Amino acid sequence: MENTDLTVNGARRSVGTAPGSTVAEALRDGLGLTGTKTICGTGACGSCTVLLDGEPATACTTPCAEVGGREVTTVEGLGGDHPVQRAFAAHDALQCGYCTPGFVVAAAAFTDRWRAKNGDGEPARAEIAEALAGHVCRCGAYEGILAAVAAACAGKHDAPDGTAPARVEAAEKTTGRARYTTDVRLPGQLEGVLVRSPHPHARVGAVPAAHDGASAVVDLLGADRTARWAGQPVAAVAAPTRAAALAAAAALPLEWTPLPAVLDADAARRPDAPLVYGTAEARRAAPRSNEAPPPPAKWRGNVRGPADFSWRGGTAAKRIAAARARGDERLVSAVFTTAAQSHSSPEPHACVAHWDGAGDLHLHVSTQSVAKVRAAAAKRWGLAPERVHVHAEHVGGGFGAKVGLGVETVAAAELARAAGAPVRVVFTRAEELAHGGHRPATRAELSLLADADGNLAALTLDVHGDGGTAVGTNSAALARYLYGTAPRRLRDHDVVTHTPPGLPFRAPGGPPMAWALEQAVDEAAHRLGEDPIALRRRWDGNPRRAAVYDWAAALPAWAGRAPSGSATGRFRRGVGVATANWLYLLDPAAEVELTVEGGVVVARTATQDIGTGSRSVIADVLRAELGLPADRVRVEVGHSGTVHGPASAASSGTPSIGPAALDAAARLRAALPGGPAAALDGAEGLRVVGRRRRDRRGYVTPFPLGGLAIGRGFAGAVNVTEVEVDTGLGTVRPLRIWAGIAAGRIYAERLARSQCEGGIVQGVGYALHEERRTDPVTGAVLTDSLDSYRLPRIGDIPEITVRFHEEGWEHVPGGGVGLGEISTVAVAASIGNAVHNATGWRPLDLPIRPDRVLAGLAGLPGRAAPGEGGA
Amino acid sequence: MEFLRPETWDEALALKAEHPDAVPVAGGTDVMVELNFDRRRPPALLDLNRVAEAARWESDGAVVRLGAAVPYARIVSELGRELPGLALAARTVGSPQIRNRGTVGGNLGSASPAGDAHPPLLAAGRGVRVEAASVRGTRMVPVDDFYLGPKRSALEPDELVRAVHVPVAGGPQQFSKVGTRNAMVISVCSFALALHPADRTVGTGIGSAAPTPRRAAEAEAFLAGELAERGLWERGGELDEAVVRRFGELAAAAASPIDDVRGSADYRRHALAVMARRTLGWCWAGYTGLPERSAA
Ligand SMILES: Cc1cc2nc3c(=O)[nH]c(=O)nc-3n(C[C@H](O)[C@H](O)[C@H](O)COP(=O)(O)OP(=O)(O)OC[C@H]3O[C@@H](n4cnc5c(N)ncnc54)[C@H](O)[C@@H]3O)c2cc1C
Ligand code: FES
Ligand code: FES
Repeated sequence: MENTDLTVNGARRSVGTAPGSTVAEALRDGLGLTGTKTICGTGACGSCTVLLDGEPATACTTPCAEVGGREVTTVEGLGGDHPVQRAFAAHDALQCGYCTPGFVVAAAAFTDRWRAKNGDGEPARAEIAEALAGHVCRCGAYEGILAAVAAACAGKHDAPDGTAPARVEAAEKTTGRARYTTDVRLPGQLEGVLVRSPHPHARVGAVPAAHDGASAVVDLLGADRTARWAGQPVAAVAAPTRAAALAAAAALPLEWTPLPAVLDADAARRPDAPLVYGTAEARRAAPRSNEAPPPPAKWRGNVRGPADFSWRGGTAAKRIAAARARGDERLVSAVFTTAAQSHSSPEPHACVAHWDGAGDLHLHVSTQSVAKVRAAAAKRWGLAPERVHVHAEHVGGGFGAKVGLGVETVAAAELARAAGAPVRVVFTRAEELAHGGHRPATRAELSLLADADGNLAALTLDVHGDGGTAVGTNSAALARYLYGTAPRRLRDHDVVTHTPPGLPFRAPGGPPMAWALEQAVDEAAHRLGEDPIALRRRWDGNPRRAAVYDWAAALPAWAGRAPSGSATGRFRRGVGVATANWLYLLDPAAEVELTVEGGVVVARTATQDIGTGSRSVIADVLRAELGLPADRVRVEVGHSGTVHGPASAASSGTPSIGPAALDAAARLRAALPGGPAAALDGAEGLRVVGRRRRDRRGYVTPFPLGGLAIGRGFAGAVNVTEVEVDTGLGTVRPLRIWAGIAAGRIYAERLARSQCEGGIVQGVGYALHEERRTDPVTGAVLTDSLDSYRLPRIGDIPEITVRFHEEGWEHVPGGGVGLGEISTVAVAASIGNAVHNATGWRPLDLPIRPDRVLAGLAGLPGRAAPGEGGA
Repeated sequence: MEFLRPETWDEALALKAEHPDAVPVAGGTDVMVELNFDRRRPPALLDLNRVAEAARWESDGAVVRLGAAVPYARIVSELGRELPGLALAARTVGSPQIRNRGTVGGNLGSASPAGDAHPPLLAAGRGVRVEAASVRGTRMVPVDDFYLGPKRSALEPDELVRAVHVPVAGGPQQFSKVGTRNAMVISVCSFALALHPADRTVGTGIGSAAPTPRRAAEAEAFLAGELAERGLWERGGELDEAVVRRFGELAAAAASPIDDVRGSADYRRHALAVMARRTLGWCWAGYTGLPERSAA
């Protein structure tokens, strides 16, 4: 250690740092200035941005020893009343907030400089995007960020305007005060690291109980002793510093017996392929890429399936075979593929675990479900649930990858117990990208037949999910619920390989299904000579979506679009549409507890806010129902030890807590006859618990599965996207995106919009940029940095318009359902259809890479075009 | 690990001679990434940020001597007229944060085939020299001789890049880079073009499409020949479509790209031809007095 003298936020500070350490480490670990976040550690995300003598720089690439004598300004140093900070809160330019400090610091520097040069006014969208090109927001808050910076430059936020921000914790997040799991530092805390398998398939010897330099060593593999993917955690090591833990982990003597491995789906299908799961027991223990329990299906070698969701499947298959035999041109057949998509949550998987003197377990964990972590931890360590204390004050995203008890939590708790000290385990960005979860790649064989009257006659869809060691592909099944009751054969299959397991990712199975089905429907419209929106409206039959179709059809961009393939010249524009459908799920056991404390209504429930806005939904309901001003309502989530709250998953959070908060408000009103506003001061200690009242006509599921009930009705969306294709370089640029969303009454409108915009941004990434790749020889994940795994940035996203249609959910208390998933399902498909409209060429493979576009346009041989063979 | 902090070039060179395995740091945008990834644990870091001369540039009107540690952001704002090709390339590097810190000295030190400074330096003419300094003296290495292999350069272990000498542009210069995103992309491939009317030559540079940055020598000779033969250097006028196309083909043929996570070899060849045609179009527009793209 050496001491470096820094000037931080105007004060001289001395900080002990290891040689070669960075400004980011000095700020976070040395000075406790944890507002500065380190999402990537490689200069590629901007979350660690600080000002060095007034100029933005990434603190993670700046050596600490170099900045002695220079002025460092962090997000804390902006004080909280910079116009940009107010603007971020006012325009909801954030969701989980983990990227926010970096954006705020860079945007503040930009705004100050821009105003000094130009005076007050609104910079062009492209100019703001250029200034913020170094940042990534995985939640996709770009629309809000652009609006906020423009408004700050125009001088609209120079003084507080007295209104409470739409997101109740906005100020904490824009000032860097919000504490995430990665910010927790407990006294005497050790650093834990995972020891990962270098082999895609190996027998692993015993893990030594102790090792030189390590405070604790624990085994993570259990009795099976088999590593099934390169990168699988097999052990964990704790030491006083991360460097010491890494050194001890690297030196840990472990005996590896490499076994034959299968690394891609084709190899896995061969009859002589090595088996990923050799026993029924191992198969049962396979991880899952879906939230619901996987439907029953047979195994043959490495293939599991089909899981059959057909409706008159035999009829569908017969009709399609006959149509093919007669060369029916109303038969659309094609094979569609999608690439694996990494969740890459901004806050990595992280846990700080601590066992207290009484034997209680305390877990600070970055999780989508405080309740599930507590239940699973209690079970695993044989504790009464109330002796497990879970904290997730702020959570930097999840998107499906942080629902259960993760290996970071198991490792931290085991290490903490073995070492008798708090232990923290935090994934690196490389670990997060490679092993932190992904949406499985898929291959979908689809045939769709229209009859002579232009109605849907039959559909067959076989989806093969390639989720590494994970099973549970549930994609073809989702085509059951769309476009009426025509016969359809729907089958899902898993092909397992010795590669990292997929995890549920926002609308699991939805985007790949829509990628295939929605392009096929588009093609059918093309063949029938019918407008694609009109055809969908006719086939759909869902009354909730009719108004959305009408709205979409009336968009000037849609009305004015040219016939597909008619554009000429180097840059060609096109407009595409796609429909989405999504299940409505809820946690019927959700509750919200209200206590009057010091004249304030305090709401508590064991849920968490991962950026979806659960705090604000509850606060909004209470303020409105009780007629209270913002400062008379406080929401505390992110802790166990109160009433049950839902997971932030499966779009079930809002339709669970919203109604529970409504019920709680009603009960409080009843207990305060004089009206809440007047009576609060005399009601100290009053407590009521609101329940999630049942929907009228109940649920589709007789009892909840994994805590979730399936409610009646489907959320719907219609996406319209305009793109420009550069036929010279093969790049596709979205120009405008519209989404009409039918999910009933909207809680916390601005936040709901943010959610939908985020779903769209992730859909654009899925369509155009994101492609997780593994090395075909070693099984190692190649896309383990933000350079090689390309997330969409602010300049990649065009103006987004979200339109809500709120009718049709009167059977649900509160009148509305979730939005997180429906907003992302059909985005890629609408882009695919727009590319077809622009060029006459239909992309079948995701992402729509420039090389694929060029090959497609050149009519190069390779893939069959729709209608020319296939399944 | 030691952190060495020289204040002058003499001190820096002495320290480098003393510690040949000390790793120089200018902006740190390559070095620190490697350290953070634990890819590299050098015994010492040699910080060049206190050497004031390293962050200065000067021009005698004919040649710019660009200090090794002048960050990209200043090249964009200060050198757009003298070194337009380099300034255009500098504009496409990373993000504002990276451009505030990253330097041409660091780009040369890394000698990555994807480095964006290399193509415009190659295109800027035979006169471009890397000033490689050590306690033993100073060598002026022609930029063509600087790149030896992927991430290997002609620098000796005791040498530092002190400056780069680049002729002031005498004609239009352009740079084009493809990535799959709008901004903040390491290049899939890139192309730089410079017209040198004074000696009637053409300069090119190709990035990310061969083991080292390289020029497209045949394309240069072809274009210079066509311009001379048709008298276009003197009288300007329309460029023949066939000439533009052939120039693109020759530029693409000069590459020997590979498939990697950023792009396929075929795509790179195709994109090079497109970029060569485009940059030629822009340069020719500039030469014949039409509005041209610039970095400012
Ligand atoms: C997020 C991100 C995006 C990037 N985008 C781009 C891009 O678009 N285009 C691009 O070209 N690059 C890009 N880079 C890479 C990097 O920024 C450039 O290569 C930059 O030019 C490096 O300069 P530096 O001063 O930061 O180098 P440093 O990291 O300080 O040094 C780089 C190397 O050069 C050596 N070195 C530095 N100075 C000298 C010297 N005077 N003499 C001898 N050796 C020296 C160092 O020892 C090291 O090996 C990116 C990097 C990051 C982190
Ligand atoms: S953490 Fe520094 S740029 Fe990502
Ligand atoms: S708000 Fe930007 S990453 Fe979550």
